[in-house]
Amino acid sequence: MLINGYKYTNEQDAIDARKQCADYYGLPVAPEDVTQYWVDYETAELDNPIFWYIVFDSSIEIILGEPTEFEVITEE
Amino acid sequence: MPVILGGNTGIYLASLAPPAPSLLLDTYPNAAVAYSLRKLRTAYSGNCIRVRRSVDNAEQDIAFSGNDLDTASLLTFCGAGNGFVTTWYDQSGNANNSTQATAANQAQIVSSGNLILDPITNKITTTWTTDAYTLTNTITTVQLMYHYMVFNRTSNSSSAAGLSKSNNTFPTMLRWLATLGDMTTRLNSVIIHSTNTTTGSNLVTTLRDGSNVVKMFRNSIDLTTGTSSNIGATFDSWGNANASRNGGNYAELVHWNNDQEANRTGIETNVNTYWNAY
Repeated sequence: MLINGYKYTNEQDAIDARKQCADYYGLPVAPEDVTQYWVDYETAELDNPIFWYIVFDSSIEIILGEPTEFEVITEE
Repeated sequence: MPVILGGNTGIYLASLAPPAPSLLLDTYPNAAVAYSLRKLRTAYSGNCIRVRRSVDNAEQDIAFSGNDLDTASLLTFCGAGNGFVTTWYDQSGNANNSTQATAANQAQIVSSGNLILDPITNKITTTWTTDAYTLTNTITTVQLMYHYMVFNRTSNSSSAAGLSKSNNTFPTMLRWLATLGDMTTRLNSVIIHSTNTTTGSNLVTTLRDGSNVVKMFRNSIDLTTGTSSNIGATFDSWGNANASRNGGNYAELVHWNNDQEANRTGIETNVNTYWNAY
């Protein structure tokens, strides 16, 4: 499956990118809130080597910059 | 009907008022989980959903008004912006709420200050794009299970899933694949009950009986059966929290870890009377 987004070769970079987006949007707003992140990262666990990625959304372009296109192996 | 005493005395006997209509889980109790935009059990006193509003990302619980979602409170909270479901509260009594902590994966229920209504049923619904919800506690598969979900498959390019395992493997009580249109259950190996690429409103019931027969019904129509004896696997999500998350409009999901097959007609009638799914 062709993905438009942000690809990371180690998980910590994906975690850091997720936090950047959450911080930009001020999440969580209150301690009791369910919403912790603005976007989350996915694991391309069927790919070898494994990698991590965040799917593009226009709301995060200002934070993470220009997305790229890459292939991800999925079950369906 | 109220009874007036003494002709025109104006005194009413409240005790003779008609009883409140029985709700689904009053008649068919002991569900394992129950998520819905309507009230399902008279004794349930909790909230229906928790919602995040787009204007400032604040969250608020939304309760019921009578047996319906309190849409007035919902719209007041969301104002002119959008609203997204962060939590489906479990009405079964097991407190097994399902939550989504990522804003981008939360189903939408209010759009620009208006309720989202399903275009086919004209009933309130939630629009899922790449969404899934995580159960507070896993549910272990047992021999006798009964599961249904009310949803509109709005596109053949998105999958639809009921109770599932978030790592894209098994078990799942319902997974309707994008593109291929396979309507499947997977308690260990995949059972394809039908292949259907159409879009539209659905009440899909799946169950396993005491003889390991796994059955699926779409809008009360019997589909192809299969067999699976596997027990002890765990559901941890509503939807499939992987690259192929759910799409479409979703309103209700209930799962029993017990035998409800004899009640299927009654359950489906109750559900369809409210949701007009078919």
